[in-house]
Amino acid sequence: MNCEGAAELMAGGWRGELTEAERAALAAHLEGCSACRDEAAALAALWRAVGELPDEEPAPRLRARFEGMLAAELEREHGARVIHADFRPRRAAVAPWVTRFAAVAATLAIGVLAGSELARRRDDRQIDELRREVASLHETVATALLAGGSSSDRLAGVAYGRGVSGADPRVAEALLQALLHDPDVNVRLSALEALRPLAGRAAERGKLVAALARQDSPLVQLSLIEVLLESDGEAARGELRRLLDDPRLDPAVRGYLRGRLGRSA
Amino acid sequence: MTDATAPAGDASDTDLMERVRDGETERLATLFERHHRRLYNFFLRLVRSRAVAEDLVQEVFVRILKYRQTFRPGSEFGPWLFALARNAAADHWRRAPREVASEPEAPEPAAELPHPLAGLERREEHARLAAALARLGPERRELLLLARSGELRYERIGELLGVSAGAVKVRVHRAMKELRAAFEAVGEGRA
Repeated sequence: MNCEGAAELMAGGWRGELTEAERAALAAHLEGCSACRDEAAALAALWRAVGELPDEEPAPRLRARFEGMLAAELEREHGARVIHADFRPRRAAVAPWVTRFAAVAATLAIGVLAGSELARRRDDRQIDELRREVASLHETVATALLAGGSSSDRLAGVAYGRGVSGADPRVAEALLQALLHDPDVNVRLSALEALRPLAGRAAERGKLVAALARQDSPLVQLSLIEVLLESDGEAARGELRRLLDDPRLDPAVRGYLRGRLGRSA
Repeated sequence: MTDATAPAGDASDTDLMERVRDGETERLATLFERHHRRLYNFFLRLVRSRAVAEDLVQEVFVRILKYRQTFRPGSEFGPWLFALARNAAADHWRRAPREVASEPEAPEPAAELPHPLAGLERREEHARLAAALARLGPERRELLLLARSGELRYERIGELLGVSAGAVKVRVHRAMKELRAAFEAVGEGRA
């Protein structure tokens, strides 16, 4: 056996993956090769030391981010549903926000409902004002959370804004800004999902195509392509074809887009 | 067929991932519990930044959901997870191709050791080793960390890299020789 063969066996030995025959062959080589013998001893010690490097405990925000992402995914899939025993968020970083505003919103909504009985008899104008307040509050919650400091807050903002993005241009704009600029790719993906119902409108479609060229995450880019093609294939294809010439586009994404345009042509 | 009401505690990773793939998305929480710490430390040694390591762990779990339908029945979860982790890391290097040649972030306080001097020596040794690891190129470092983690056998690493197990062992040996040289250079204060 030469030294290169011995090197391969050394690496196998560090992992305890040698057969008896390989172990014997390595020992025989080391017996006659002092350079490999010295190296084997030094590298085995170093291998052990690498394995003894202490692990760090990740910061609690890692779990909060994961739980926020999973909650957003579950909501996207099923809306309100019974959550399995596997998933019990330990901390609800956005709970004070959501609870406080939801309570106010609920109170106002009850006011609207109760007022509807009165409306038939008395004051239509008051009811309209209440409705406007509820809508405004909804927008306030969504936009405030979207501007929040943590990814979990912003994910909650996306979830809150999902239901009103079509009716409220300010929420739609906040979601678009999140898609364009949020540092967390999960927030961007969630914002895109929330914007999906608007992708069929010409104005929003143009913004989404522009967002595609500015993304640095291929995952978000691929998702954008799918959303655009699903929403309004014919109109979107023309704009996406022009994007193929954009030098900023990731080569892998360009290949994917070319394939999708070819298939859907 | 799995029982949707069964507790996840005893289920294998493969079983859990198949459930996630088949619509029990909440089972991902158990997989997170089992693997996030190991993934985090893998990424932390690879990229030397806690914030980036956290981002990459999150990215891996997003990709698990995104690509859950590609998890084949009966296949091993570990290699699939680390394939996603490698891809996430590769995307990171592509976005930030030039590694910042900075000192590694200060380590968290180490676990208490029996003798103060022994603890100090050990911490210094760990810091020196971490600095030496940081001197390896990203590919070498990733290969070494994958091999040393014990998560994947050489054959599996070879499948990930598209080379034979023998070629992986030779590369790991070379990476270790490079690490040894870097370790000695750090000890002697050489650049």
